[in-house]
Parts: sequence; structure tokens; C-alpha cells
Amino acid sequence: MNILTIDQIRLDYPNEWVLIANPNLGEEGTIGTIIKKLISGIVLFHSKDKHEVAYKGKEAREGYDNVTLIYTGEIPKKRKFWL
Amino acid sequence: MKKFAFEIEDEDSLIVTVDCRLHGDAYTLALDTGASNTVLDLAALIILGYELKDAIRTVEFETAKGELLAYVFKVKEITALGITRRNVEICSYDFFNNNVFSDMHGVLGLDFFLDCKLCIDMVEREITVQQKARK
Repeated sequence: MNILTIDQIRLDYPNEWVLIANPNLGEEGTIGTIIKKLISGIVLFHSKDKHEVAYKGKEAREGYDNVTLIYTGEIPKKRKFWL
Repeated sequence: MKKFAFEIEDEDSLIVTVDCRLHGDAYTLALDTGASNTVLDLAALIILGYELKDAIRTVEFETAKGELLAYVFKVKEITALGITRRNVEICSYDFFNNNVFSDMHGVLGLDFFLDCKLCIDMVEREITVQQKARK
């Protein structure tokens, strides 16, 4: 499978949940959201349905030690959090 | 003592995000000192092969939106801020089913820091964590 940059992933799979294997997150130990840190990775599965990515992703990830899950669309800005 | 620099990307949405490794998988959690428990998006656990039947119990959470039902799983390994917990009970909530739409995969709550001195320096934008013997 091909390694894609985050720009390519966003372009190829817009507004989708994307399961990525062997994510290159740059320097270890820095803090920030995965989507901001992700440099490149291997796309294993993608869908607009997060559940589908999760359930099919557990098979798709076989053979890969680590994965991450991102959303390539826009997350609303200026949100207020009361967790 | 371990130190971690953080950035606040948007002062209108003040939130401190933390890298998390769940069995090696990479996720982002919001550091939440107001949360009693660490809570993960159920999707992250499903991707690892956990199933709902693996939940050891359910718990009800009091939140700003009212009571929420979460599943409790025994997770083999979770790492954040240089601290690794093994065979630890972690709560999980189905973000997608409950219309939680976020680029974070959960919250890192106080239960993660029971044996730690935790300092969040908002001026220097630095988190320091020191594990200590529990009293």
C-alpha cells in the first residue's frame, strides 16, 4: 500500500473518517491533535460512517502495529467546551 | 519529572490536547481536570478488536448534557504524558452514535493521575508530571 501525505489524504478522501496505518506524526513528545501533527501514513479504510471504519478497520489493520483515526473535514471552530 | 510543551491553537476554544497511545495506536485526548475518569471514543477500542461484550460493566456519567451511559473496559495498555497504565479500567463512550463530533478521541481525566503531581502552567504553556508514591 502507498504512503500518502496528509494533503493527499485530505484531497482523496474529503469529509471522511480515515483509518491510517503507521502514521508519521513527526517529533515524538510534542503535544497537539493528531490531525495537526500527521505528516503521512497508509490509508487502510475510509468512510463517512465512523462506525463502519471502526468495525471494518479492525480487520483492515491486521499486520499493522499502530494506526490512527482522523476526520478530513472541517471541525467547527470557536467551540466552547464543558466536558 | 517530565515536561511537555503545549500550544493553544485558539483562545476562543481553550483546550489542552494530549497525545495518547492505546496499545500503540495514536490518538488525541483533551486534558480534563474536571473529569473524574478517562473516557475514550468507543471507535478506538473497536479498531483494536475490543467488542461491546468485553465491557466489564456500564457506568452513568453526570455531564453538562445530563446523564450518559458509558462502558467500562479493562484496557491492556494506555500511555499519555509519559505515563503508562497497564490492565487499567477505562470508560468508553460511543461518540458517533451520540453526535459527538470532534478531532479528539476522548478525555484524560483525574483517574489517570492518582499517583502524580500534575501542574498545568497556562502562562508558560507547559505541563509537568511527576509520579509519586500514593499516600
